[in-house]
Amino acid sequence: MTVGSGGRGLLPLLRLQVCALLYGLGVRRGAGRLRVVGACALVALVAAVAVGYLWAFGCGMVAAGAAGAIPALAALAGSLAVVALVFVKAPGTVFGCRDYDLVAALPVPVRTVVLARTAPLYGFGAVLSALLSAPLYVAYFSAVSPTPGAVATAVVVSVLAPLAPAAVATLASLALTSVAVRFRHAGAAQLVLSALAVAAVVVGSLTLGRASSGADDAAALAAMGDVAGALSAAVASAYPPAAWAASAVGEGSAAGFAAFVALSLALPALVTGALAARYSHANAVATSGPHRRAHAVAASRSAASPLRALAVKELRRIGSMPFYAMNCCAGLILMVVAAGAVALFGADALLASGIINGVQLDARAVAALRGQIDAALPWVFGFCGAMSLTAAPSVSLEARASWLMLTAPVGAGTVLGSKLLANLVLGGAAVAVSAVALLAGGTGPLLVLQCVVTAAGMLTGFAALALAVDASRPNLSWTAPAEVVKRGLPMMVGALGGALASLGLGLLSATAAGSLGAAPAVAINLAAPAACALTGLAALRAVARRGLPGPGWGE
Amino acid sequence: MKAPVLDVSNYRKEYRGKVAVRDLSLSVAPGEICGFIGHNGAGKTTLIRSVVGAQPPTSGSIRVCCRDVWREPVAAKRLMAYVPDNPDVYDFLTGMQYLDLIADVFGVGVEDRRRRAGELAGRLELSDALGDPVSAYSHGMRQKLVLVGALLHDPALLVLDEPFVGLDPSASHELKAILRERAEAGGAVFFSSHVLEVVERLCDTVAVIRRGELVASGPTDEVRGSDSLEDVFLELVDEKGDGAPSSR
Repeated sequence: MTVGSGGRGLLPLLRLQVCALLYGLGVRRGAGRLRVVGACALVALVAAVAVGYLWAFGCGMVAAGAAGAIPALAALAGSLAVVALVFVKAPGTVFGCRDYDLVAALPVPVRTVVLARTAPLYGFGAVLSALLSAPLYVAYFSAVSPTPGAVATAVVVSVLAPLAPAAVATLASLALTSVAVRFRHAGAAQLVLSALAVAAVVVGSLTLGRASSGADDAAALAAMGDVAGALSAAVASAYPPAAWAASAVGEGSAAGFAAFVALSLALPALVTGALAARYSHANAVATSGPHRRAHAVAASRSAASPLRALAVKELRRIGSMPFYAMNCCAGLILMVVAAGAVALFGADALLASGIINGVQLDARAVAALRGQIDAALPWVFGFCGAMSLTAAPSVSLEARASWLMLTAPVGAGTVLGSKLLANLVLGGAAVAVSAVALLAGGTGPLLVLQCVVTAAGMLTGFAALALAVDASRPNLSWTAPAEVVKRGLPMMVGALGGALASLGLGLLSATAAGSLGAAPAVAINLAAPAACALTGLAALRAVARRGLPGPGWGE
Repeated sequence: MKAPVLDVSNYRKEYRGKVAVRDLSLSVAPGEICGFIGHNGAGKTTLIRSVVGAQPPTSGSIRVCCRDVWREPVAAKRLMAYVPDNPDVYDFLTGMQYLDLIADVFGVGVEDRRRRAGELAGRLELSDALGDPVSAYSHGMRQKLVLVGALLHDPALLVLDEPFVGLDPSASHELKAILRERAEAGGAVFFSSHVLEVVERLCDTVAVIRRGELVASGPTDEVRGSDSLEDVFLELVDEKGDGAPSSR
């Protein structure tokens, strides 16, 4: 890389990112188009659900007389979604890249390289923000007579909203990764640090929620003017640029618009410049490991079975790769956080407090929906379990070391079983902690049992299914592990399938509880996850019978 | 006459209809070191990967100590060890953790693994690095680590693909001594190499492959005749004839 200016290398480098994305999805020599179409269909389905939900949420706000708060909330929603995305995706995409040496040797300015690596994140962020903001603005402009200027401002604000948060998230992700890799078990360290970050967000959310819930109080409403004013104030206090965006869209404030645009463009430019100036250092920091000399020089004190030895190897891999642990174990953290929140505050209080985005229930409504809430609660844990698929990319992660498993004197079932076992060990620990927390918080044993069965069943089923997909068509020739961990087809199939199945079955269970009573809902909550687990295991077993995947596989 | 440790019979490998190796047969007896030579892309690694169970043949059979590699894969793999041309192992393990993993998978007892790992790592000057993560290893150190792992379970057949690439002179010397010791102890060694001087001096038998066909095989002295192995090799691989492979 050179320090000079010039953007001739940008397009080829962006093309490289696109090729890596397509390769990660399994598109090779023109083949795999069907997979891309399938993946696009799944993404479109999830996007449609999100858009529908946000549109309904926006209409609800309009009906409640809080339309004035929508521009601020739209800016906040787009920003928060992208912060989460960039935080998880930056390692392996922007820094810590395996192809760093190759790219560093190219006659391309460093800034161009950084831009090529960050542009996809910013671009995806802009699309995501526009997608999330559009339904809210549709609801908003249905209540407020739209002017061309306001609509144009809303479009610009929607697209620019995620840029500044994405820039900050990139730096935060680099900082967290740099700290985590100093530990012997970097992945575990990153999980703990991330859990602390999630806890901070939850605490912040609770604080904001309490501020917002004050809007229900008549005295507070009178003091603050109206619901929209109260919500806008709460959002503005949490994220001031959202207030600038709101004033630009709602009041046509040129100063607010200028401040928002300036911040949205200046911060990414500053971060790109800073990263370019210290890019080699950033990569070295993000990829460096701890000093481990003098550790474990002695052989084990006891022999282990091949299954156990291979499962331990898988756990060590997860523990050593921060972004792998983050991508595949975030659901487990959320599961424990959710159990802790239910144990501390109770599901009823959480639903009635207004801190859960989009849930506007009072205590009487919560009491009336008691049966449906109990039926749906286990699927919160099922959703978290189905999001935690360390097994999904584990065959592809063998990559150049796949010869070891192919030549080891163990059957394919043992190798694949060890990968699933490692996933279940982590999931089992999270489920156990969650169950203990729920029981300690006073949740009924039958409901806790449903939560445990649902979480374990969905985790087992979708981990086994995703592992089967990966074992059938592994991507062993990736250039960066992010290709299989973040963009691989097995992960996409497992996580998206798990999310949709959890939402669908949760809805079915809640509907059954409302129309047929508690018993059918309990039956669904116990039988459906078990069926899911058995189906996934059957798929994995069928793949294991065909043998281990290797370079000669599928010829 | 003892049964061969490695017996390849009518091996054929095709990739999408293109023949990579054509009806190849060879065997390696106990106590024998067999060198497998050929130009780049001749099919050496293709055959080796099938021998160790990493890639199925299109047709033919491969037996290790009378166990068919593709019908009894676990039993056959337990009898052999493989050192690939590119010794990529798990970066996230330390050297010792890697050796423990291999020992557990191959069922080597704790005492045996300690003794053998200590002895072999010492000979290959790797002892001080076993506590380091593999990610910190150079190519040569990874090669040595894979070698130590391959010898932990005392395999009847040792299969190596270009084992001398990346080794320093003293490690290369030590490896030759280790291979000779294994042969003298009754084991069999089958390795590919482009270093013809090493093959000529170390190997009891040699097999030459050209464009997927075995063009010569037998005791090294017979294949070489009065010439150097290099001269014979160049003569064999440069032949343009379309007829059946020649035997020397």
